[in-house]
Amino acid sequence: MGRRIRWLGLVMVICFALVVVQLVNIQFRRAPALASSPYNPRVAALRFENLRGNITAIDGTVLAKSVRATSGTYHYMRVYPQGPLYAGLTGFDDIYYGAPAGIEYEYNQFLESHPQSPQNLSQMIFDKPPSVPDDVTLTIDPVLQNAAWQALTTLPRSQNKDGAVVVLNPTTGAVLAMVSNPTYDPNQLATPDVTLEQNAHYADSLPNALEHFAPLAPIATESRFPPGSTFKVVTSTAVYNLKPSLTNYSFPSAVSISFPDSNKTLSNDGFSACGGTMIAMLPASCDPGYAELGTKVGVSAMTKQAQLFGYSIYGAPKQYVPNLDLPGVVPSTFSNLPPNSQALLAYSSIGQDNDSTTALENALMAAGIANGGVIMTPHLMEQIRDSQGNLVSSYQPTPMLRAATQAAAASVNDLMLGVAAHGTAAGVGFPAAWNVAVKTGTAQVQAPSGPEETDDWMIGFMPGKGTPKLAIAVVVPYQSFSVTGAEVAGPIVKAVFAAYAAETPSP
Amino acid sequence: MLPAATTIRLVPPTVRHSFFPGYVAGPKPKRRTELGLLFFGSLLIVALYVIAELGAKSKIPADIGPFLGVVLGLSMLLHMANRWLMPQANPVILPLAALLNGIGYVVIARWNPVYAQQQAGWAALGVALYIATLLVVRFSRDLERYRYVVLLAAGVLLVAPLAFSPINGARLWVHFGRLEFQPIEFSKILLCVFFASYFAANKEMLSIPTARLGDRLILDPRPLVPIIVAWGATMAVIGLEGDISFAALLFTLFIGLLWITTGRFGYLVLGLMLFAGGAFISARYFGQVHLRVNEWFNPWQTPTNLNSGGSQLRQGLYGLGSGGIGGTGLGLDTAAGLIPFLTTDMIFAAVGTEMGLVGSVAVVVAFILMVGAGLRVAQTARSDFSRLMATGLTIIIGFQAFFIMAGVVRLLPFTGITLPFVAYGGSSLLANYVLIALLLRISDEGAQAQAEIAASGVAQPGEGPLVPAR
Repeated sequence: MGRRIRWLGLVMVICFALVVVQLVNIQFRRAPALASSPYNPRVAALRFENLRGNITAIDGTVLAKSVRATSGTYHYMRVYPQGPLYAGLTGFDDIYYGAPAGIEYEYNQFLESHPQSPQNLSQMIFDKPPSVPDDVTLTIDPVLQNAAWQALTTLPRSQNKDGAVVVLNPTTGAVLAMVSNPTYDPNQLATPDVTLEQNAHYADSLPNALEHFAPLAPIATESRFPPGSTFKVVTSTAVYNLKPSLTNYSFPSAVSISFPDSNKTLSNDGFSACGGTMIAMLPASCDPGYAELGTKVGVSAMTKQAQLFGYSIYGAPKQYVPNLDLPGVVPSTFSNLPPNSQALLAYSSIGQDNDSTTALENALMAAGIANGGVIMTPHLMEQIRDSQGNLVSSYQPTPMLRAATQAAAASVNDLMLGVAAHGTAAGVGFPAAWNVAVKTGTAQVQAPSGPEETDDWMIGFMPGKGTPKLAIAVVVPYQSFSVTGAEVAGPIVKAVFAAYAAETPSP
Repeated sequence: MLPAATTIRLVPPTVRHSFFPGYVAGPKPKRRTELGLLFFGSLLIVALYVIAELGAKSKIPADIGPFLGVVLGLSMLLHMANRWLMPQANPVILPLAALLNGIGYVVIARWNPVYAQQQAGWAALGVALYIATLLVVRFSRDLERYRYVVLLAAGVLLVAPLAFSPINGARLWVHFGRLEFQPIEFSKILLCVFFASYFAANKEMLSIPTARLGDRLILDPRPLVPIIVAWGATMAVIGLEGDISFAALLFTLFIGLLWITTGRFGYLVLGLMLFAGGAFISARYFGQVHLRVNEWFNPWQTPTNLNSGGSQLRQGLYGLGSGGIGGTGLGLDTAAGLIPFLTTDMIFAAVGTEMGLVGSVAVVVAFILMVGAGLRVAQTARSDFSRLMATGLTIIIGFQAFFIMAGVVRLLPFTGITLPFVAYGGSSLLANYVLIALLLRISDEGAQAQAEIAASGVAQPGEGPLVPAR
């Protein structure tokens, strides 16, 4: 027994020795990395000892600023004067979680105080140059942002007010408005009171009342939805761009269509017959017609066109993410189809199966059509100026993708003008003078709870003739089955376009 | 027929059998050592307390006088009790416990003054319970006699929390009004007593094959039945209560003692296999364990809510890293207070943050010394029961400390168990004071016996001191 007790002692000493070894590993070998990690709250705390730069909208509206802290340990605290409206863009700068999101994260190196280059000889030789932050100006237009928010949250709708609106300038890629609901109040997360902050963070990380979305993950860039009929824009572009021989293909009028490799039949919305060439089918959003058209285009051309628009193949290891200067953007996906599939390709061609799209991606697609087939890199930063007002950095528009030839884009442009003039969006009531080009989408989905519902979309741009000014995508998920994209998302698009029209009187 | 020259010397009867032994004056080198260590430890605790206050608020704490008085007073109380009730006991264990308790108090006072006040109260109560234990348990063999009463008490304590509502997902607490209590901390001692007494009584049956299977002798399975039942019920109850860490601790205790008793490697192998299987199943199917194992592999994932241990573990590692070798300095860290459950589960990280590698290794070394002293007590114990009990109590202290420290440094999956004597928690502190009281009682008996043997001048066969008594 005595010998075994000695063995036990040896085992226990080895155990403790392992703890010591690991302690040396953490507190000596890895100590510098851990101590300087941006997630270390001690590093985060340093930011609150110094002034932090302002984030402003394009018209000078202050979205985030530093003020002297009224309580707590640190000198400064962050204030977001506009409350929840810009939370998805600015993110928040917090003490506890130490990982600021949004613009606060993306442009942290400019926003936090950093040593300036010496301004004169005296500073160069004798003094340390002052440590001050830069200010970041965003491309966001508060008029459009407010209009989108008002429309998203107040227009009468059957059920929930969740959703997202993304507005871009098609010719530059500038993000003019980006609204997500639900959202959160960044002021609660930036409070010096850590307990309040933790509670707010916990509450905001939970899915909201309808169990759909957590406020901390903005829908506009971080949630994907089946694009439904808005994806017919991709199918149409594939025809003009890659399979011009199908341009005048005419689908014989029918209610439904079946495929050799499936026992399901694909029926048109409302079981009404439809058909004709694309000029008739896109405005009417003819499901069986576009399904067959998709199968004629084929898997490889459809996949290629989707990728040209910035989609990734579902499940592929490498996923393409739009190069927006905002962290957390998720990729949009096109179904991963076997080469000879018919039914799956048909469903994928009308935005079902494994197609899923962010509001940002759909807005980029609309912008690409509007801009003659070239999708400009989306961006939020307009310019960065130092404390003296000198320009530090400003954004130069750069093309991100060439989605289609100019001619193909123009053809799809014309089809989309038809949707607004006499197609599914005619009921929205866009004034003819705006020359609006849109596409509606209504994708059937199974809600997390309850009956079958639809994700309702509208994408579009204006004006559809001449230089485009605005491209927009609106998604309002989990609406009652009886409504369509035109009915729910349409008024939101109209409200934003109206705000733009009111802001800039037509020449 | 005896040779003529043989003389038989009788061992003189001892005078220790009254309930309150008279104080025996005279030199007691062990107690003198203990007094010195306690005094030095008290000064260290007070110094740390003052430094922490200086660091945090740049002023000498106003209550330095009363604080010094309380620390020294409690130490002296413990010391006088030892002098009176067990003059030959090991002189190192108690000062180590007091030092760890003091370090824990300083860290708790640094981050949570309200808890610190309560902890001071619990420490005083712990000293009282320590003395009470020494008065009640005059001989370790008394415990052996009440084997099944002890088992029944352990069972009642284990089951009690099931009648109360859970806190933080685990049913570990019994609460009366505002008073919360974790009875499992006491049942660990009682189970140790039961295992030790049962194993000691059935040592041969457990280790020598006596049953016949065909033409081979195998171990008689019957003696294993009661312990398997006791152990299985314990595991089931702990599973219901959702306390994985204590399940692991009691498992270690059980298998460890069984091996120490019998020396049969089969038990060890079987135990390890059972443990591996249990660990795999619980990691797979119990949500909490699954979560803990995931965090262990990847603590760097972004936290999604307050209670995710990933965040807790990560914050602890940042603290340890920021501490580095010398620490940020007591009272000078800004962020360790943000770690969830800092004063209970993560107190080792707080020690390492402000006192650095030096401080954290000092705590580890304190536990190594305590374990060494505990096993030495086991080696000098005079009966199988007391030897097994001393080993079991040492396993409890040692492995409980190891599990939580290894969890904090990401050597093992993180489990919410208290660091003995250091962490905040009344039940834990009281139970651990009782535990060392029992350990020291065994130590005193062993040393006493050796002294008597030495005094009698005759070493009985097999009773020669295994380790020279010091």
